[in-house]
Amino acid sequence: MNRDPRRLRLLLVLLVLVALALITIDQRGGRSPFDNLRDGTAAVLGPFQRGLGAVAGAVGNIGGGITGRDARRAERLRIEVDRLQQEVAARDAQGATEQQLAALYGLTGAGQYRTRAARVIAYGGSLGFEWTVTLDVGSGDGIAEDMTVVNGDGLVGRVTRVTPTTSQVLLANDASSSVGGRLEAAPPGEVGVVDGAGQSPMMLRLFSAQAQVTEGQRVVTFGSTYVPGVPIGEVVSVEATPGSLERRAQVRPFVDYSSLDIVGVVVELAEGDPGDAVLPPRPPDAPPPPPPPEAPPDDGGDNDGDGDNNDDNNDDNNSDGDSGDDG
Amino acid sequence: MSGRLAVVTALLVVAAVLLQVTVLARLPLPGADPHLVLVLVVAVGLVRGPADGMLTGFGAGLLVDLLGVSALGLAALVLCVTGYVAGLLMDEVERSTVAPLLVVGGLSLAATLLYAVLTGLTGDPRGTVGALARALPSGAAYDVVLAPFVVPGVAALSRRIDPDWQD
Repeated sequence: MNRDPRRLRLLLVLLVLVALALITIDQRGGRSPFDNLRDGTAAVLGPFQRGLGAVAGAVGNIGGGITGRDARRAERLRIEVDRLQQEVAARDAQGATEQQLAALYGLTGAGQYRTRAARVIAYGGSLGFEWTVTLDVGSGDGIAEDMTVVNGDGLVGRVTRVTPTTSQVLLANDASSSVGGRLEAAPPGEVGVVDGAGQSPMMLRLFSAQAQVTEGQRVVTFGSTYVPGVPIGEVVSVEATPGSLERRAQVRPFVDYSSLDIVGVVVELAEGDPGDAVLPPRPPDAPPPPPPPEAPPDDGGDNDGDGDNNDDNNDDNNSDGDSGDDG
Repeated sequence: MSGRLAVVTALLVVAAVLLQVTVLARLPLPGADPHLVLVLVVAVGLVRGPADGMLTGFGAGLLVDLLGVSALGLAALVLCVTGYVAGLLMDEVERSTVAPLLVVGGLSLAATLLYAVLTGLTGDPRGTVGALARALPSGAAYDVVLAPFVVPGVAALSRRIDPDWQD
């Protein structure tokens, strides 16, 4: 059988047809009949991914420790090679982990999210192009589908599949990821959607074609599927879109999706939207956010809808009894 | 292929998938990641012929689809055809050391391109032209680097497990 070309071709056609049938069944909208199979496979291989992920993390840290900083010092210490090299690498690894945890809890503290810290053990895409990661926490740790995932820099993604010991996360820069976002500003700024684009900058699409957006403005999550107030990225260029129904801008994400390590899964929110509280304060030399739009000239009418004929901005936007927008 | 060989091949496929998404994906390499699973499928085809190649490719592809986000059967289709084509070239590369590397590189380019096209067709908006232009050549280069280890390894393993296997 191995050498008869006709039977080989027959087998090939058969396998191709089976594959096409599977694709058609799987692609039918809604929940695919194979999702249970996917969950099962992930559950079975999860423990192996965790084990290998831990090994991979250790190997990666040792490599970084030697080639990164002090090649000459490592060279001199080569006499006592095993013990000393491992000590340096272990301390580096722990320091890096602690740094990431501190940044993560800084962000989650500002937004009052309760998170479960986790480590990335696997990157998705055996044939490339998909931006997903696997974490070493699962349903046994309280993780559920659609939970928001963050790290010390901002939005990482959303949980898509959960097994007892692992979970899969769709990263925000994946081409199929769309995150509801809004521009930083007071009063709360324009709302739109941020689409992932792999390694290219993300695309922000604001719902209003007249929306004001400038370079340097930052974008946070709006709060539909994702937890509100999580920093997504910074606007780097605004597209001129005459005649379009939406305003588009390119956004450079705060998170480096290629080198994720420690992340946090938001398992519980505090009440309400933290607004812009989670964004770090602007560094002193950064461009200030754009000023609020110029007041229209005083033509004696009620232009800002507050019942009098003065065109000032004395509205109580945050319901605290005065007209200031303090946080 | 014999039962024992099938089991060992299956284990190799699982190991390759796990290694690729954990260890290989974490290495700070510029460009795309190496496709260990793809190289393994091509190796099986080159060493054991089109039948084993396409069956191994189909099974490996199913596993890749199950663990990833692509539609079930997409990677199975691509890797099945890849394994078949590799098997067709089995005789051509028999006594050469360079030819297997060329086959791996060429099939890597073709397979990842096909995969990107198919995921685009099934409504999965991945792989823009720019990303492809970057990912395809670097991925293929890493696969060629893996080939001198994987292909002889598969050959040696096949000879040990199934010494009476004849073409």
